[in-house]
Amino acid sequence: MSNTSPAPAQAAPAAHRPMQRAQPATARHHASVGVAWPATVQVEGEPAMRAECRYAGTEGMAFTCARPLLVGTELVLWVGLPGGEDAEDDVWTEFSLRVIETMPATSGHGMTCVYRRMPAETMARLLVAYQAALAAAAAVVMPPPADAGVPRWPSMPAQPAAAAMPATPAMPPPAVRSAPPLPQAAVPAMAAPEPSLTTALTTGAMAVEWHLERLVACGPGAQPLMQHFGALDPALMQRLFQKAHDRLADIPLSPVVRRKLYACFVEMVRNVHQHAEALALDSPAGAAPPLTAVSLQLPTAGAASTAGGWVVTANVVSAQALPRLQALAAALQGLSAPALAQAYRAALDDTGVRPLQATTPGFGWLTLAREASAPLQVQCSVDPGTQAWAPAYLVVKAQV
Amino acid sequence: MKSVRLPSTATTPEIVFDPLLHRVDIRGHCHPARPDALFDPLMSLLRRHFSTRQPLLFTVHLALQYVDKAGLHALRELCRLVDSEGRSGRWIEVVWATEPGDLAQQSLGECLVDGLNHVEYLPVAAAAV
Repeated sequence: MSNTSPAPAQAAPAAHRPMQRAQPATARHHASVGVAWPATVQVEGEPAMRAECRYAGTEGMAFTCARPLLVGTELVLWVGLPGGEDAEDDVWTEFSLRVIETMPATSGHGMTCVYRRMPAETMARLLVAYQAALAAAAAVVMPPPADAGVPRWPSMPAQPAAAAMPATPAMPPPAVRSAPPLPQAAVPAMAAPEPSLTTALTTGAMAVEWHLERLVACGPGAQPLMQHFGALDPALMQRLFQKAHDRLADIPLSPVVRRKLYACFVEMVRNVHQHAEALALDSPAGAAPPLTAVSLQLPTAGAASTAGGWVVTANVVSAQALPRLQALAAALQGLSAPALAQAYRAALDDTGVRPLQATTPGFGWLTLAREASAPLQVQCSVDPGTQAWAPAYLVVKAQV
Repeated sequence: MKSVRLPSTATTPEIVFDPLLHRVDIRGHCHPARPDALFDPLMSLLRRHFSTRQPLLFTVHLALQYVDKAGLHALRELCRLVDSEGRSGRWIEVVWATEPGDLAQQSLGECLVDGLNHVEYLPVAAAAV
């Protein structure tokens, strides 16, 4: 399931009551970082449950709910946006999401916080959509649907509102996470809704991000330990490295496999950060940041594979770079163990500046080939989509 | 001169310098964003130690996991420094700790001391350190 464009604005379902917030009433009119929004989460086949949604700045959207959710769970998130001063005026917007990561909630109430990363440019577009939804709600008052008490999957019958919403204990005001604000350049001022916003969201950066996610998706017998989707910066990379170290330390792995997985993860993250190319889109926001996908995967319980794990990365590259990358992949595949050791030693001793367009593997690639237990899988492909600006992708998979 | 301890971070190792034991321990991951900022103070510390304390024996304990190219170059400079002190008649040990069976990491230690003729290279199992 992939993200959908925001559904038409609706009045707040009568059965939902907003959670108590510490923010003043004026904050309800701003889709800003750190503000909590009432939300409802529903996993297919299960009753809907209350949630609290908030933006986490450049990290994307986050929400907390009472029940832990597994990574990979697909769900529908209904977010109540402020449509006025009262909670009953909230405008509910639907998102189809997939959980990519979970963490303990900062509020300390035993809830799980899950979030979806998205690039700042996509976040800016969503904010435009939210603001457009607010403007539309202010202009037209829509009566609530007959079954507005519980959001439901289209293929499932409506559930009684009273039974679907179990009573939850009153919670104190949530702790607002002190996330960095969105860059001013990425947040457009209030403007008229773009008539082609839906098209832009499905053919722009979001489409690329969805494709990247599919490229690093776990194969049979694998499960994600941690994943990242979106642009990389040095500070985020530091956090990713620390998180990978901590996550691997919690898994019963042999020290050698743990070290190799970490080494491959660091090398591949640094590689995509250095070489992922920005995707220039014909959009008001200008060029989008380089989009990357990183996935650290382990075998599922009971899997026949004896591999310690995999690190998979995918990033956008220009079509002109494909021949060079294919030559580099071929050179890696052709290295025997003694040749690899010799090339590694030569690259280690080389203190010169390596040309950007080199067709022979550098120290990073040789380190990867050295640490991996199987030949690196390097795939270059062109997006077969219908868009004229269809990018090329580089996918690298290292098995340890 | 007192002992100096630099705690580890996500990308830098723990560094412990003990002037009484004439020993420096470097443990953890080593892929610093600024290798000079990490290792230059250590090199200065070691030079001062050798010049003031004149130790007959000095040990470098390395128990590293992931090391990038910049980190390896900095460690090689450190090994060259102690090798030059070994040329002066001191007994220099470079202990390289790895997990049993980690052939890639074991060969990395040999790369570090390759060409250095005045250090005693001691590969050991990580649990022994």
